[in-house]
Amino acid sequence: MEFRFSDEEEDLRKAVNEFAQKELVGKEFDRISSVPRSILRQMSNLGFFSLKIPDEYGGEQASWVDIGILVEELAKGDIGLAYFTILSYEVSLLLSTYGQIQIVQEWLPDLVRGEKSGSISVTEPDAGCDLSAMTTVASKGADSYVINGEKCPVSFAMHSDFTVLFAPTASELGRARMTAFLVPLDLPGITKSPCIHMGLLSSSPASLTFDRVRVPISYRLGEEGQGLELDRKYGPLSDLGQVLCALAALGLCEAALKSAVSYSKKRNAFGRPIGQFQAISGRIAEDATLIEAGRWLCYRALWLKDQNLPNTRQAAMCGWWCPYNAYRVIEDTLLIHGHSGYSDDHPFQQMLRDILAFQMIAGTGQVLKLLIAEDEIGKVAIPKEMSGTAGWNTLAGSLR
Amino acid sequence: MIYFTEAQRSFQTCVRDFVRSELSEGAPERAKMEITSQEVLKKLAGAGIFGMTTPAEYGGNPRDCVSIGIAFEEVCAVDFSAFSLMLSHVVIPLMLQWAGKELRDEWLPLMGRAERLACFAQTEPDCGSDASAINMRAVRDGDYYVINGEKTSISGGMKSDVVLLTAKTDLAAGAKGVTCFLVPFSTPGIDRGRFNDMGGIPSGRAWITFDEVRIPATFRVAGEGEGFTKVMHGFDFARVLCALAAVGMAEETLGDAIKHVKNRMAFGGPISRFEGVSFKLAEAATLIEASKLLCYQALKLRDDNLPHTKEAAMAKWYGATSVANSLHELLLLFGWRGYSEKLPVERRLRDAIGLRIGDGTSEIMKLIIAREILGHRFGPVV
Repeated sequence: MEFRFSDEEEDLRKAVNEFAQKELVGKEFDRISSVPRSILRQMSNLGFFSLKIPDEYGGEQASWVDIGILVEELAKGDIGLAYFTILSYEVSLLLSTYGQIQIVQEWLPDLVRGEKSGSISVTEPDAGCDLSAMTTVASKGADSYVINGEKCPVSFAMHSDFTVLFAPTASELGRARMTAFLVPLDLPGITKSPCIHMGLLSSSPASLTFDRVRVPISYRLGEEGQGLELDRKYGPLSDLGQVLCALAALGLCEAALKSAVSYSKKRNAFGRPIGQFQAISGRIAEDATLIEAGRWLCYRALWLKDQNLPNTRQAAMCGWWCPYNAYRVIEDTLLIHGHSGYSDDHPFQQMLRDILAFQMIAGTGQVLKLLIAEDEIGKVAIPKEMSGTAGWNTLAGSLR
Repeated sequence: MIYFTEAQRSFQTCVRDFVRSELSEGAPERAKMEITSQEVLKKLAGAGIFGMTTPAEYGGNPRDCVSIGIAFEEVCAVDFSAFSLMLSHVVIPLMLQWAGKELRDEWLPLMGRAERLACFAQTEPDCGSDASAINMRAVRDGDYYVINGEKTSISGGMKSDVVLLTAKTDLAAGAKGVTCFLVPFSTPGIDRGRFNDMGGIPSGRAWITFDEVRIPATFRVAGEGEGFTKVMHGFDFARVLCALAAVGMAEETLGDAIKHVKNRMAFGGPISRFEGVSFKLAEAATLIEASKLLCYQALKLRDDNLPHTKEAAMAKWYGATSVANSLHELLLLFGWRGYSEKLPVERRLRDAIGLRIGDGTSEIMKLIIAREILGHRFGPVV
């Protein structure tokens, strides 16, 4: 066993940390509800968007552990940008793995340079975990697909240039099957309207409505009906979506806990620093424990992936547990700061708003726990109302 | 509540009907405003909500503590925007029983009608939980006092016309050097500004600075050095009302969540069929019910003139914590819609987190409880 990062990994962490602390901390991108292109270009220059894309597009063959380090350190500076980076890898890899060559050449270089950005559209107002409930449909014509429906919320949709849309074709509707498309967001028939969320505002989430939007057949990613496989491989349903979002959540709460620690030494009550009260120090100890355990769970899940070993259960564990704990750590930090923690004099109230999104982004806790339970207990763990449905069969089947 | 009297029950119905018909409309918009709207203040005052501890001879509608709790629970379930002012208008008229006649005659009738608003100021930048460690000074100068210092985290501070504050008249005497004063904001030398808070936006939480503020000695409330014990007496009450405001919000959200899970479909039917969902509701319902019972127990003890400091502290920390935890879980049941401004749950969660801090943190409540159950000799050392 070797519980240690390599020198190269430590160097990467240091480089990302320096960038994040210098360029991201306190910039409050959420107030402008977007991520500035200038920051994306800087990140591109540092190679942050090309660690894991094919050589021919200027990429390097970094490990998934490296990507985890990148995301965790970025999140200490700005959680929205960490999430942007996760999506950027999901989109780049979906595109470079499943796109036709001319589509890849058209979009990927700009993506890696930070000049363009993509989003991913899966969730619908009435369809979350149950993919069979999707109603957005892509109907195949002679030379194009015609798309109708609504995806909501779609993170970064207000400012992205294209979206990777997951939708059933007419024959897949209601069967929890779907197909993936690259859809430029300037196509006629697309309307964006912002969602007013309580946090993670720099992700500029929006509802995208598609009214007879024609997408050339060449813009399809992979084959018809292969959408679920794509989602599972590199999309929000992937182990990566779960683990990287978990690491982003941990990065954010690590930044919070650091503030709680320094405040506990400075702030006095009853004539001594509050860190001397067990009510405070004990919570900091508990929170530090949760972070330590969560980080190793995440890095082990990524290491397994790097070794091409199965990591479904570990990824699902990261997916529900780390954001759950991160909420707690941030809440503790806010409360330790008392009334000043409640105002925007400190970042904790914003962090708490942001972290809540991470309890939903990678799937609900309920569904992730069922996946773990099925692995532990077997099929009998699945509630009988659910076990026969197309939605569950597809979801569980794809994850096995 | 099983032990409400007939009168309390009918008061509850009356407040509920009033709130639902008069305050439902526009509540989401008012929650974003930086002040409590004049219209809401007028309506609440008209319903007697601002005079619940004001003696009848000053035009008030005095009520027992349980009934006052009922009013807080019912009003805050629908509209939280007036909470802070409602609270200061319960506590300050009580404190004014120790003020001179002149001061009472001037302020009690106006406060009861919400024509003048009052806030209560104890916390200072370097002193929150440790209430006897305040630095604000009040120095006697003939028939006047001169006040210097800073108060912070004052709910309702931005809109109030007058502030009831604590200041040290004797620096060497610790808690026994604390004295209360009622100071109009029109007095020269006072400045104030707002905090941009995560929730409770309309309460207009403020910092207030006092620079050589001269007030007549008649503005003193109770004797010199009596401030600390008088304030603590009001805190026991205020803390329970904080918890009941939180309970009101949580009950309302629980009702919304029950409707939601019956309507939201996934995997072939409503999500209410799954224990992962229904047990979250069961847990929230239990926590809310337990909180409510703790609150009304403390208020009933107060009505019966029995000791209730420990019970009030229990109600405060357990109630506010349980409500914030429940709202967090309920928000997740609503999914992304719960995370958006389309539903009131995200706002209520933000409001409830403030109620965990205001009027005494959980740590201070536990300190009080620990002292009561262990005795001073074995209790926490502070």
